[in-house]
Amino acid sequence: MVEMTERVSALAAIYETGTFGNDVDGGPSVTLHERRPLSIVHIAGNSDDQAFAGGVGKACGCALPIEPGTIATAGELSLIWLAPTRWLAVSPDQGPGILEAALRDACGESGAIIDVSHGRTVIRLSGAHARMVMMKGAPLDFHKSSFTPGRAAQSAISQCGTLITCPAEDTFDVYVFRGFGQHMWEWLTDAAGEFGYKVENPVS
Amino acid sequence: MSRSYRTAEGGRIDRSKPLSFTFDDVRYTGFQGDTLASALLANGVKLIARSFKYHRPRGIMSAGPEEPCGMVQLREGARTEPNIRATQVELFDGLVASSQNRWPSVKWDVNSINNLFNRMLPAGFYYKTFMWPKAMWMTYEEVIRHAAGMGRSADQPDPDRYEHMHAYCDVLVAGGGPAGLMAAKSAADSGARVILVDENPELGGYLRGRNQKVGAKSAMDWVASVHVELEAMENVTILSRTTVASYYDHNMLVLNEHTGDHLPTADGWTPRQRNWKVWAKQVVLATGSIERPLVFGNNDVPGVMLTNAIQAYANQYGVTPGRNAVVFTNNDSAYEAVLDMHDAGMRIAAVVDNRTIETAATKPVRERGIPVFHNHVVFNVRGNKHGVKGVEIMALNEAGDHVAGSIIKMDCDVVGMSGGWTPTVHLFSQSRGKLRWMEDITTFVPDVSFQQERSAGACKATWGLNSCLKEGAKAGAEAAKAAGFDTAKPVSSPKSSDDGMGEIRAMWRVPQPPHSHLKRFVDFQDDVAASDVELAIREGYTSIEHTKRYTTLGMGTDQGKTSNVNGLAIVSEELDKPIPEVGHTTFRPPYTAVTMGAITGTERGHHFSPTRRSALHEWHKQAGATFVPAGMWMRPQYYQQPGESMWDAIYRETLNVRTKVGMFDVSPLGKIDIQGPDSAEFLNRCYINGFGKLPVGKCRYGVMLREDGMVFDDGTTSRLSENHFMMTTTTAKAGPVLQHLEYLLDVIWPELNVHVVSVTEEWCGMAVAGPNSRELLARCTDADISNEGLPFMGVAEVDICGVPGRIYRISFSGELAYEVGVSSDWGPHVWSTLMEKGQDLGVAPYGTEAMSIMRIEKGHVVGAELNGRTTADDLGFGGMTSTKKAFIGQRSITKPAFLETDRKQLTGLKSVDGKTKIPRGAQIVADPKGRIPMEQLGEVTANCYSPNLKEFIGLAIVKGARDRKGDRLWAFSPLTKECCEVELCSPHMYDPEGERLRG
Repeated sequence: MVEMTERVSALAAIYETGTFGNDVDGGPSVTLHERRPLSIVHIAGNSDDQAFAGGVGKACGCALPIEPGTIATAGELSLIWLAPTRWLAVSPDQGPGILEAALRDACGESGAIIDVSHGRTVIRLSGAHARMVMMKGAPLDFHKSSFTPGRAAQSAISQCGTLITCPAEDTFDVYVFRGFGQHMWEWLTDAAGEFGYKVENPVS
Repeated sequence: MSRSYRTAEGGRIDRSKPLSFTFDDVRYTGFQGDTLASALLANGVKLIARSFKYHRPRGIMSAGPEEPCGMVQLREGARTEPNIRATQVELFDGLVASSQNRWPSVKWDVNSINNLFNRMLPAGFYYKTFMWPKAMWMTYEEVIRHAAGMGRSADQPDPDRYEHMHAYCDVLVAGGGPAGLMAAKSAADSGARVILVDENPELGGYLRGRNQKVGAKSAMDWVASVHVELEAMENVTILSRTTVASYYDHNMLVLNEHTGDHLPTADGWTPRQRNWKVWAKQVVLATGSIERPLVFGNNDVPGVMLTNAIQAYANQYGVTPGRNAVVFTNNDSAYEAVLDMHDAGMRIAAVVDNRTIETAATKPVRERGIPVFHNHVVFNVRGNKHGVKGVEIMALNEAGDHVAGSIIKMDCDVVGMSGGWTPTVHLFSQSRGKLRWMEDITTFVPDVSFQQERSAGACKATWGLNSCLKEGAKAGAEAAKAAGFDTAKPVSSPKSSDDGMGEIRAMWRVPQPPHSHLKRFVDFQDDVAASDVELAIREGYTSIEHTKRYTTLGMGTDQGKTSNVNGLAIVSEELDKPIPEVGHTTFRPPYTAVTMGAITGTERGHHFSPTRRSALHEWHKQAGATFVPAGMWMRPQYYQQPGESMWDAIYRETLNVRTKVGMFDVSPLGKIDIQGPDSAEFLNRCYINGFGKLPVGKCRYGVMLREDGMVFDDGTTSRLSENHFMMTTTTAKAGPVLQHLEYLLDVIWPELNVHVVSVTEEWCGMAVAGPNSRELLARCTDADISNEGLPFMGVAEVDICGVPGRIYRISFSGELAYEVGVSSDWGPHVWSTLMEKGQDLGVAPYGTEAMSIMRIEKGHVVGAELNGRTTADDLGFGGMTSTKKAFIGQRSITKPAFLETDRKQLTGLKSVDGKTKIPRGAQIVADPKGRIPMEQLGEVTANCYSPNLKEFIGLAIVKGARDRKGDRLWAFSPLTKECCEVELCSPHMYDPEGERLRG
């Protein structure tokens, strides 16, 4: 029965695919879409604790990234460094509680594992001017020599706490608390308007 | 003779693109490439504005950001903007500008009568005159503001778009003149990330207004070639039309980019301005210098200009600001200008040089037959609002402190003045660098750097093109090296001429004949004359900062760019103290004004602050909810049905909960997931009551104190498994409580193995409250939710409406109630299903107002009572306080003040006559007719009409209230003058035994 209940996005009421903003020569240079549905699990623990670090590594298929602001990946799963004792595991939706349970099983009593799949809205921006849109929002160095694929950082965009990752060149994922999802979508699309932007269907 | 002052050819304007504009409702024509100032001068418009205090006629004085006089009201309607320097406004087709600070017109200005009485309006006049009688100040102020006001701001919302940008670089170069260009090129060649910022539409700095050569090329051709080179480099960003407004700590600079100001209107998506914050590893300041006026009689008549400005208008715009000029100088730099002016077709009546010795610069001027008067001064300008008519010249005596001999009268229509050059050290000074006075060239120069910056070129008093090019290249290479680009080296520059300003003869006040009382202006924008500075000193304002404030010297939109050095030099002379001892006033950001729009950016309208929406937001909207902001959250306040008043809806919702079943969106409540072997111990230390023995599957109400013993927050915390808890907080304290817990774990008790994380947004929470709530939930879950299966304060993990969730048996309303929690994306499905399945049970949503009434009826506390001044005991939680364990705030609550028996305590209130409502926010007093000041016994924290109790009730914090049940006091609102006699009662006014919620 669970499978039949579809998850409703925080952006459901305003999401519209198509081409918007400035009508520029060469067409829109920013593309946005919501990344959904996702499984997102918040992981907390001590990376020196072998039971914990090893367990996370086993469940995710990649080692816990220790260097601040980095991401480890295994297939479609990303393990994002948040703080010295905190990470976020993100993958396309595996079904309710599945990723959480896998991590819990692998870690045993070590660390703290909690499913936050429904607590985040994740917006992906890509294209030649995606970087400029990000520069409008956050006081981070988005230069391609600095914010390279595999980097993550936390900052504020329009007064909302965000996690920003760079999965590939000229591509950024912006994570916000679900309640700020609509505001962030409005803000990002507004900032992209200057360059013309395209909204595509959500995909995880 | 034609009225046009445009030269037949020359200038970097596009004569094939005429632009039409209006000034004070008169239509004129300029060309693409003009500024408003150059276009006005080309049309022979000399009178631009009236001065601030005396309403004297003023015209254009400069060709750049230093302009003190030529300010206009630009554009109309919602886009109108005051105090805009005409010298920096790029002309566009259809531009509308008007003069300001005049009434009814700039030509016939009523307040110019001030000028006739100017001897009665000395420095500090307003302070001295309008202070008595005190009560009249409000009236005086209105008249003074009207008379002294500059332009006016728009009275409609700004239709333009403004944005923020953030950037990082290795080397930021401020200024695109010769030094800045060489710096940028040298730094960029090393591979460093360079941002080159220049305030003008075209790079080149002062070269734009000159007729110089770099190597064999014309200087501007060289500039263009460097521009092309830089633009092709991937590591270089060129920001033109951009001012470095401010230089802050950590090499963070704020830039103001005028992206759309040169357009008639920026299109819908292009911002009018962008406010940049740039973090630079290294900074090169190449901000140039500003020519200084000379202080002589009537030096403010329209047509008296800085010499380099006349030169720039001639060279850059093909405009001669007059046909017949007198140039008054104390240095060599004016001679080059004279040659250019002459080349542009102007007649030069004379060059007046206060220096006694002829220099090499004089020769080419003399060769053209232009008379040069050495050891002479222009001591007076004749003219009026129509402009300069002529000058009066006299020789200097031997000491140079008086004029001597006979007056030479000379006709002219424009006067150039050159008092030397002032390096633009604003950014250097803002960065906290220390300045040094150089007596030989009479100016302050950068001395000791405080941040990672270096100056190059004229802003460091390096005159001469060749030297500036070399110094810029060196500075750029050094900056790149310091930023980690070890191979950086100065790029070479073509050999160029290197004329400086030669010897300068300082003459801070040009002498005037005996018994003359000519106004010699120092600060043109603020109408400060030499006599005002002298008066301030006589009256004892001897500190330069005091002189500034008393006379307004150096204030206003130009911040004394042309007047500061002259002003402090006069102070120095009057005090007979060397200039370094007098010092200088502080250079504050911004360099030129930044609009509020640019500072605000996109944070306006409904994006002023983010909106936080629950997963059920759309449902509430569809159901006709009126929303109320709670922090950033939008919460449904009530759901009005057709034909209902707001109060009808609220009372209906309340009664529906008490008699049937209601549902309330509690998603915004803070939720914190707590895991780890020490979780129970941690909670024990955080709450006043015990959590160690809380069984799995149960929740408990907890109260948390601050370190000072006052109540911090409350909420229920559930034990999901041995080492796993979920805490709830109030909506308002969700952030602060998480911060508090993280602080305790990271700093105070790092040995505790506990992890906390916010899960507020993961869960969609719904209160299902009322006698029918159990029946409703039973229809949607197979779990046992009977009184035995899920007793009061029980929690169960269940499947509900086909999704996994939790049911908590808790009640804020005082009814039999549950809180259902499901993952947010399923919230809409579960909420709608419950609504649908409970139709026959009378289910209806309720909002914050109904919730508020019910919590008042039950005496449950919220933020109004948890106001940071109440203890647990004050609120009736004294009995919960554990004596068996230590907790945060425990030490504090044993302090004497916490134990006093007449502390203000929580109490219920009932309106004695049953008809009068208890005024909101009222004071509790013994007798409202008593003498003022009277003792305030307490304050009303909540009030409502209870549709269940059918009377007006409230909650209050009142002195010794617990022992005063049944006492009658008064609730009086000094704001609304409402007054109600109230009886103190238990705060638990509805179902005090709590039978309903346990049933």
